[in-house]
Amino acid sequence: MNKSRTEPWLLVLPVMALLVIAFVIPVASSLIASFTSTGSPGFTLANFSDFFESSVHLTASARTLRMAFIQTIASILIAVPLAYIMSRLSARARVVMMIATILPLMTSVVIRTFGWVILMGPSGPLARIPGFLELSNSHQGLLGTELGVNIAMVQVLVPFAVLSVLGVINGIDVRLQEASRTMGASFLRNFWHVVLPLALPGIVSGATLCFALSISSFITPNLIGGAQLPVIGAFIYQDATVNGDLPFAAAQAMLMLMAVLITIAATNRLASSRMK
Amino acid sequence: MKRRTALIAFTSTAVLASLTACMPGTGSGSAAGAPTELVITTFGGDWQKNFTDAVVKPFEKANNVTIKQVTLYSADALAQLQAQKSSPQIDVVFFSGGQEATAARDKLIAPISASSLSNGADLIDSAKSGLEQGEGPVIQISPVGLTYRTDKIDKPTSWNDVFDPKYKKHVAFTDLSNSYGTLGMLSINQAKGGTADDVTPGISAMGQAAKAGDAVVIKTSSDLQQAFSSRDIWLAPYAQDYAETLRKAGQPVEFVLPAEGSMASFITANAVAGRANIPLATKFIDFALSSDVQAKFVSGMTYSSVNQKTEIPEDLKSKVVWGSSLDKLQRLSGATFGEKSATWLKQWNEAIAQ
Amino acid sequence: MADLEILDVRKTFGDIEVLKGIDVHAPSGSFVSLLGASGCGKSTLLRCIAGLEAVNSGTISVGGEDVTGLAPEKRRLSMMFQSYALLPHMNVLENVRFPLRMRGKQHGTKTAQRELAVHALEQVQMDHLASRMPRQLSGGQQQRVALARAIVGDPRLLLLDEPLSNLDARLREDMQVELVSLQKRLGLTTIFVTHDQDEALSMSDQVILMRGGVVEQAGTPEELYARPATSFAADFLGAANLLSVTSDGVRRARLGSAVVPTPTEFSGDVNLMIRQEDLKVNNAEGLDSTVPAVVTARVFRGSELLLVLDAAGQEIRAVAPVSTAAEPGTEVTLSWNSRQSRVLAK
Repeated sequence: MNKSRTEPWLLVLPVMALLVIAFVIPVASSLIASFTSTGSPGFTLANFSDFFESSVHLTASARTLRMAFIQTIASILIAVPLAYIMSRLSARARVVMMIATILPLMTSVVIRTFGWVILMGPSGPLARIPGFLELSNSHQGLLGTELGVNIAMVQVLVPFAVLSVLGVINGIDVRLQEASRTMGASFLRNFWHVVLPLALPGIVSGATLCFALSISSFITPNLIGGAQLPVIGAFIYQDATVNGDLPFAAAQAMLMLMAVLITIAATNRLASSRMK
Repeated sequence: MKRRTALIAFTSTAVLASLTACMPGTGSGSAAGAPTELVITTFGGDWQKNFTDAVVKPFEKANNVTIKQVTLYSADALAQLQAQKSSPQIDVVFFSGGQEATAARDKLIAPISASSLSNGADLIDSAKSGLEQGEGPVIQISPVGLTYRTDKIDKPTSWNDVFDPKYKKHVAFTDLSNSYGTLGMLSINQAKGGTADDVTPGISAMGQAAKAGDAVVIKTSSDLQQAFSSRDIWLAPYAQDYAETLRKAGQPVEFVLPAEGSMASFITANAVAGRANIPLATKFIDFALSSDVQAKFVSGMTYSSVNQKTEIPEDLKSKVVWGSSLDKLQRLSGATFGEKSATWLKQWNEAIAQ
Repeated sequence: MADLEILDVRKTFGDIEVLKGIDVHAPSGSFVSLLGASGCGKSTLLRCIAGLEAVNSGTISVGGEDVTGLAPEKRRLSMMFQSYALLPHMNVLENVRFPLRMRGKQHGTKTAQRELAVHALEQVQMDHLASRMPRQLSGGQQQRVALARAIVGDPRLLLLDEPLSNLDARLREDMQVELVSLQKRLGLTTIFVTHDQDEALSMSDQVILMRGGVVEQAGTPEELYARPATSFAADFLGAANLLSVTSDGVRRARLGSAVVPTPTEFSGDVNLMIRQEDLKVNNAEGLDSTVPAVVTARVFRGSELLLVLDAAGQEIRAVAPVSTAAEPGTEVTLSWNSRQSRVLAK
């Protein structure tokens, strides 16, 4: 056997092993489980037909996808200018900004979300704004509203978006931007015509990451949106832990995975056609 | 994590237990020699703390017994019993979700007759109603009732008060993924004329209130604390003992049992079948039913007493259900729960989701 | 087309003063080189002209308009980068059209802009590759595209930042010739930054030699070469021998045991500059200065020899005909005309 050909494989072996143990096997067993039923032996499509016959699950799916799209777009809209500004700062200021961006990731999502619950609720500072409480029909301000969930989720997602966009923007040759400025592009037109197209790979990967994180989240939607705005992640959790119906939970998880994969394929296709 | 440590603890105690079982001179005779050992389950946390002080330590002292506690929640404990049916490793098991019905049906637990319990005659009826089916006696009761803000509203009297227009936007229901949420729903359902076979009256009324925004739906007990502290909630169906937790957290709340009566959470103590020391296990359970121990459950955990002779301190008389009011508490059978809960949850999700 | 006037420009980065009061005047249509070693401030000065760096003080005017405080996009000049800086996500034509698009209406419709861009590509013989992407081009092709982009739409000023340094020697000579002829044809006022004195001398109307953030000497290439004002200028521009000599009276200098005439009066220790090509080996005919020397090394250069010699302990380099008998160790005489030498302060 040729040594130079086997050595690279040895290097990826740990990653491959981890991938198989932590991803391939669980996903495969979930896939198999999704075609079984707790009550009866053999393969069945019952879990999927149950899902598509349940208006609650369909509504929750639509809500999950809708919120994931909104949150992804909002996160990218915030992250791209932020990452661009960060890339233009001095090294020291960039470190400060970097820490400020990453710091929220160091605290638990639950803690952060409780912060939002207080901020968005009837005893928070925003409640003093006339009409704020009426944003939800239960007079809970932003609690129990999709807007509230979206705001809290965007706060969770923006650091991920910033990090993936910043990685790409930092790699853009600064002389391209200087050249564009000397060629008559203003700050904004340079951003639009040069930075944005070149940052597209980072934006696509950031958006994909945000979308996948958003679609699978259930802690923040649960705490802010509550039981009345269920998302698919919450149903999966409920069916797996409370109802003990693992096959149905697995079926929902597979549908969610499919939604993510389709989105990734679509965005990658879109991006590669744009970059050609 | 908790579960894993529990398993490790369990395995090691099991090994210890089997070792001691092999040693000569141990067994039912506990009068002399090395202390006998009992393995019991526990729910951990404050519950374990209170139970250790009230039951475990005094019993160990009085009977020359060593008691090992293994953290196992009800569903996990049942699973363990089923797995170890041929050689059980636990002596006493506690259930809070009606699992004793399944355990008795599958002969995993040993029947205990009321006459074998020294405190049997003093127990309220609902505490011993399961004995004939082979279930263990109830040792603790946490009724579900209405928890309300004393500074905001007058003492409610009926389950229907949760639909009172005066309290609109200030009511919190608990999701059916939580067992107290289920008991609360069933209580309201009964007040609305429904039964366990027909939960539509309760669920549709609660669903309408939730969809109209007149009530919010919270998912966990910590959400409930948040609801009272920062979401301007004044009234919520929930458990008696949790009202005390809220009071300790500084909330001005009281607990009231509505006139219609309510469902309650019943915790049973069961002797595991096939163990060498069932008489000692029964003695242990009997001890937990004594009025002295029950008084400690009442004062420490704000549970209701199952022993009619328990002295309820004056300051707790307004905080726990006691005396004749205990007759208003109903028990949801584990069989019914197991059979219906998925359907209830489905119907509930459809009713409240927007 | 416009002239460039720089008055007393100063620039600091942190505590370091990079430009210490620079004055430059580039007449309309002229080709001016900023020449110097790395770190002399020539690139910073070019960036200040482009507006990519803000000056601390002084003024920069283009065609009489003070542009000192203007953003780069408002200065209406073009800059060509050493790395070419072609936009990788646009094809050649779109790259060349980019400045027209950004400057907007004055360059007309999209079609008109494309015509202008194609015309610019024709100027550099790149119109046939208009639809290629930059990464599909060779280095030389990329450079031509960058040049086309720099000249499109009549910029007031063309700034070139070492544009030829990434090319191989042959291509580079071709481009020097082509760049100058294009510049003359279009009459573009051009500022050319280079560290290569041959490039500066061969292409420029005017050379501005910079050193340590100041202008060391400015003038035509001929002036700078023939009459360097300082030892540094003499050394930087072309191969010059700088001999350390001491005063030996009026217009006479002592070099070891030899005494040679000097073109100007001086006192104390100075440098006597003699170009390599002005030295004659073993041939004093018609020359007034002679010193003895020993050959230490001999380098064959095809058309001539480069001799490294030792004269009174100082190294001297001279070019000599290939026929010269000058093996290492040979004692020779070196002669020159004192009028071609220069006395420069040390």
